[in-house]
Amino acid sequence: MTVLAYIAAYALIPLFGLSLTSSIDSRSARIGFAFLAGALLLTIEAMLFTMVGMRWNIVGLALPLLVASGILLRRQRPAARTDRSVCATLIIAIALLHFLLSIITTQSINPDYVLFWGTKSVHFALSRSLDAGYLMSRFAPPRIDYPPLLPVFQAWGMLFSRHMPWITAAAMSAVWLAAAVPVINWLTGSIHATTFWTAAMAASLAFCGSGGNAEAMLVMYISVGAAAIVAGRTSIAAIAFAGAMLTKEEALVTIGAILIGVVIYDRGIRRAAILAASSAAGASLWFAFQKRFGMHVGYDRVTLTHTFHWSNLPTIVREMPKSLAAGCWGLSWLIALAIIISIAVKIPARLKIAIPLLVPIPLLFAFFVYLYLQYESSLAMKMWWVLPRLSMPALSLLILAAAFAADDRMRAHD
Amino acid sequence: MVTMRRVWLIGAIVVLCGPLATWSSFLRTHRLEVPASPTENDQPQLAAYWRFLAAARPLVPAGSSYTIKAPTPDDETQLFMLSAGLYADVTPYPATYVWQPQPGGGSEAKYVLVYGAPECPADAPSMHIVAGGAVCVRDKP
Repeated sequence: MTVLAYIAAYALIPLFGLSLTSSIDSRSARIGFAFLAGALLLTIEAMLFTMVGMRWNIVGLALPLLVASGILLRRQRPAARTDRSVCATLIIAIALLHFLLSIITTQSINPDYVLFWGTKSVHFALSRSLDAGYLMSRFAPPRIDYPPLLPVFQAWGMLFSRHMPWITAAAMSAVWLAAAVPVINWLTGSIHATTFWTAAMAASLAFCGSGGNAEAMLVMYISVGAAAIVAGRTSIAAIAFAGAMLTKEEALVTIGAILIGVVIYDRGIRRAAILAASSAAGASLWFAFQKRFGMHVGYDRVTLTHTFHWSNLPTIVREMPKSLAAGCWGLSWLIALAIIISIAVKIPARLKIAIPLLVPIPLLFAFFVYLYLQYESSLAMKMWWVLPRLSMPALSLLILAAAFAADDRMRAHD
Repeated sequence: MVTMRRVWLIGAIVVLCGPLATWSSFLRTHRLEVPASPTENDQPQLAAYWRFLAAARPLVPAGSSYTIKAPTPDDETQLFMLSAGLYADVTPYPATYVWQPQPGGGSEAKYVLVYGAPECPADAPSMHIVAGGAVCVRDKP
């Protein structure tokens, strides 16, 4: 019963986000993006409730979002056809099942989930608020500076189930990948490229133990946002980046790198400024919450000493390829790279469209090296633990770049 | 274009060979059963902590207080972090918090969760054995 109630809570999430999908003309992409946008709106609302002193309850949180969706639903465009293929759909289903079953069989549940993500969710649900008192208590959980989207999302389910179904809640990470698939298909216009992206993401997410932590959410927001930039859907990208900023502070670096690519591609800053503003708005809300309750304002995660240990370089070079295995011996990287190289050799002009996706990749790896040069101990172990997760957005960007440059798309966005 | 589509699909199948290898190895070495903890098959030590805390949970009523005793400060730290989710409606008095011994050592707590050898502190003589340890109850916390 607890499990069913918890799962039922998430059926409402796409309804919350429908108000932000009026520009999407594909039914499946609309539902998928509504899930991502719904989680963002729920988080914003949950934060605002706490900031003004209102306790969460199901009706109070759901009603405003449902009303907004109901009003805007009338304005939605009729659905258009997206690229489909039985074979591709079958492979996508297998990939999604792999990630889901990896979590359910507890092969891919992240330790951070039971150590602090899930504990925050339980405390928030029990207190029916984004419990600043708990975050600042004498025995606070680790990472109190992390943005709240994941704990709010998990606490939402617990408002229905009353008890935390720990494995089921972790399994909801697979729903994020499932929600992003139709959106990526709609944005890239290629079900075949989307199939490869899904297989690569499922393999990598399961390999990195992304059940229950914020990794799946972060990668999906970043991926949808980045693909929307290339597809010329700036409003979709802006919403996705705001979601990413409320999910994990790593989004700051990835979005920053993508925006550099956007500036280079556009030869102007208008679009980058819009996306930077929406990202800043997402982060600012969390910072406003921190300030409201007297918490330290900002992200604490990355501690840079600015002391470089050049002796770390051989370890970085040796360990980095191992950390890019992505659950498939690195084949997802190699295949996407081979496609990019093949396009670069045959029709290099096609790569131009993918500049916002390609530019961030070397920038992100340069940042990783910059970070790892400052580590003072246990570098190999820390790289093995962190880099597979940190590199997932870069892998996604590489595949999406290949998808857009390969030009086997339907012409929906051309 | 048809060739490119084939490349994507073949690429996807090739990528899924990684998960296939993982599953074949997993199914060779594990029985399919409902996991007793969220990290059962990936983090055995955390799973052992979890099973103990879950077994002890029914003996600790909501609104009471608890502390955790374990063989090492590392055990106590991780057990306490895990317990924050399972014992969210119980007041914690950790003996060790983030690897640091705490003043009082958890003596304010009514319930003492003893991980490992089931030996109760002298001031908490009432013992209930559970899987992985014991729950000891103080008469006057």
